[in-house]
Amino acid sequence: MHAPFDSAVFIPSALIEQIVIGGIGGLFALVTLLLGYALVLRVSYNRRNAYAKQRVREWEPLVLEYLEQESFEPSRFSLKPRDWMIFSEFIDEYLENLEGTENEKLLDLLRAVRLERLLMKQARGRNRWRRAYAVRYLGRMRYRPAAGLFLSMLGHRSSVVAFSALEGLQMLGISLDYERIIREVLRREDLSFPKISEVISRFGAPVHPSLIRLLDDPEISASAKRLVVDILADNRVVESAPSILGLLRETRDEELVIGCIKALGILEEPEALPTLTNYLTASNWIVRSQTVRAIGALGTKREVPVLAGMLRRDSSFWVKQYCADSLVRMGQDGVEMLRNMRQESSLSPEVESIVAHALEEKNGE
Amino acid sequence: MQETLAGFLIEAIRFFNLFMLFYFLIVNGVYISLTALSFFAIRRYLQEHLLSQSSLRMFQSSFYKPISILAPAYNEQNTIADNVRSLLQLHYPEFEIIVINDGSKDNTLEVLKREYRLRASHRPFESRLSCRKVRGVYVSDDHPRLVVVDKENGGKADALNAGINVSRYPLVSAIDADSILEHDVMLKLVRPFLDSPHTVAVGGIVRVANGCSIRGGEVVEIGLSEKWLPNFQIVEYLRSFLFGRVGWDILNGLLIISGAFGVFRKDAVIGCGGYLHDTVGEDMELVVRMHRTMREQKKPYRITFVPEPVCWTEVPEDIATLSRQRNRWQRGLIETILRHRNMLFNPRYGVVGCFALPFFLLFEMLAPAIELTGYIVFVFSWAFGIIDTGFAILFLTAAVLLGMVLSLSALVLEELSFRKYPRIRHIFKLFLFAVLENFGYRQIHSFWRIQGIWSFLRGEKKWGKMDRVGHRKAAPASH
Repeated sequence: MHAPFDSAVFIPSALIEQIVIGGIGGLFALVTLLLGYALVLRVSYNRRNAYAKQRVREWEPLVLEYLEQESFEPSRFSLKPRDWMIFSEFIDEYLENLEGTENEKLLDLLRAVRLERLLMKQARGRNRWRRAYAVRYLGRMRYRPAAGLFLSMLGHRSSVVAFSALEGLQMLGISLDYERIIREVLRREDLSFPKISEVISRFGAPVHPSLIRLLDDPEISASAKRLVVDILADNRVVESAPSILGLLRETRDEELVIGCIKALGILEEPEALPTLTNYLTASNWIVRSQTVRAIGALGTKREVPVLAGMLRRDSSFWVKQYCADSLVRMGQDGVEMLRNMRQESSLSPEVESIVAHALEEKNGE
Repeated sequence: MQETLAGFLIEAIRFFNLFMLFYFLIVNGVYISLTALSFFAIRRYLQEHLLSQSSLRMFQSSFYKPISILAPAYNEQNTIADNVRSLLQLHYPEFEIIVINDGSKDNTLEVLKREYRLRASHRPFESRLSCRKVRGVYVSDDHPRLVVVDKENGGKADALNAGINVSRYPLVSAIDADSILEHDVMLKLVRPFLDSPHTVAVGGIVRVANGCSIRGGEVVEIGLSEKWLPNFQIVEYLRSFLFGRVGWDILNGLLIISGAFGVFRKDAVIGCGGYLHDTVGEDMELVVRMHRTMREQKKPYRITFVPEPVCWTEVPEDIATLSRQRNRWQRGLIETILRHRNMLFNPRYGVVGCFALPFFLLFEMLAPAIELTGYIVFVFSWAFGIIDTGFAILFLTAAVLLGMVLSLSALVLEELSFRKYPRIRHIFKLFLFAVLENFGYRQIHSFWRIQGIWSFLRGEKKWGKMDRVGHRKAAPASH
């Protein structure tokens, strides 16, 4: 090839030509490499998959036999080092679906094949994902000696590991210092509150006294208290109502106010009614709407005209909507009020439609 | 005089060629960087995914935010009943499906009324976003999660606004009525909202359903199409979603959440005014406006992307429909960039203003015009000896190879992650289309986009008719 670009062309140097040719060679190599890599990935995945399927086919009848028999030799599973992950995932499906003695028996099997040895090694390893997986699995195996490790992991810098440790502790099913655990996780802003709520809820009744105590603790932030209130309400912890009511009276934090109002409605705390009515005139429509809903849950005949008035006049569509829903929920008096309102000619089309829909939902009127 | 003119022309061409070379290097440099970022992002996602199975079970609880799924429908009498049935099968703790009949001229509404025994409802709603008149709202006693809104025709954006007005839940998902969603899709897509209270929008990967077998509203066998055009689009979609969006997501510069599939926080959508009626790129426009509003209000926010294939859609199989679609996409892109032009190179808008929007302006909006001019000047330069044949061949080879490297990187990402295409011959076939797209398809594609620019300049606002052949149905399962 002759010199590509003389004085009249745009790339003046032969060096650039060499670079371009070299670049093209490199690109060719890269294309071949990428295609080869894609194929290698696919072939190795297919092989791994085929191997896993074959192992699972072998284990499946053995598990069934194991579950049915009194005596069984775990070594029949002939686990090779490369099988641990496949085996744990395979057993996981059974653990998920079997309960009671069968579940216990499977856990015995996992202990018999010494799965915990490998998992503990992984749980102490460097890879945070493997740690998280191992911790969760150890929890599922109810491997109690791991509790100390899990507790220490609550403060781990990786939120994934810390969250798995919380899950692991919950699954261990042993008595723990719940207050310490909850304080530890509430301190972490990188853990998602809805996810924490879910796990804390699963600890069950033993955790409730600790949660109630936390409501009175001035060192706990308002957002953390909101989370605690949500958990208590979601689990219908009736004995927490007085503390929540006290918190509502004290706090100035709007999010916490909303959480407390909602919780008091869910817990149907009659003592809260006088306090709640104060919030019907709040400037924030979300506060008003939650108050209306709470009053719907625990209100009496006396509150019916109040809600009807708000249904007519409130500036927020959603407050009106919840007023109508609450009136229906309050029983015959509320429904009667809605029927009467339907006859009024002065209602705005919006309120008319809300009333009509509420009655329609109630009993197809 | 003539010599001066010739000299000027040669200088101009030389300058343009240099510009092209730099343009080519920068655009490919950015794409390669995005690919590298995507490798890390997808690796991280997959590791997280390892833990996600029990997470998915875990989060089917009251702490999950309920969601309203909005499905605008226009003249879809043949497919709407099946599509709604598929949507009703979604696994999610609390959701409602709002089908918006956007003034269909066929029997879409009648089919829905008959299939789901709809009855008129007084369901009240607040018109916080502007939309054409709602003629009626229907509910089904058999399927309490289904709501059908019948309204005057106003286009997709208008229908979505009506859906948002009628919706009850704090999250809304905009989907195409004919999209096929995997059943646990919403559980996966809503996770970023749980992980961070600042998340305002989440997009997911859309995959090409042509060539796949569908049964009971579910993709049961993934395959490639027997036709050429859909396969070219599969390569495009892999590239666009696996490294385009994933890469921009890491930089918090995601500008597009596909109109076929996205989840939004309703208050954020309403807060920025909802979907605009006067654009054909309403999906991109909304996302850019959300960035803009959040930045201007100095609110912390996150618009993110879940790199998991969760939504399957049918792509055009004929040239005419595909050209109309690409024409529309190009117009949508131009409209959005021009509407938000004061965000361009503006540090106030962070990554979006300084990088993402300029990138879309220079390397997406103007790319087809620059590319086509480049072809013409290139041929001209070669014909008049301004560049020699050797260099011309080298440059074109490099361009094709770089295109292939990017497409193959997407293919490798797919193999590293989701491996949706199960057979080795699929990999070879996709590789073949990654090569072939450089010889004709890419150039025609640029031509359609130039047509889009021309249509925009002429003020065309049409959506363009989309002919669909329908999903391939799998034989019923034998028992």
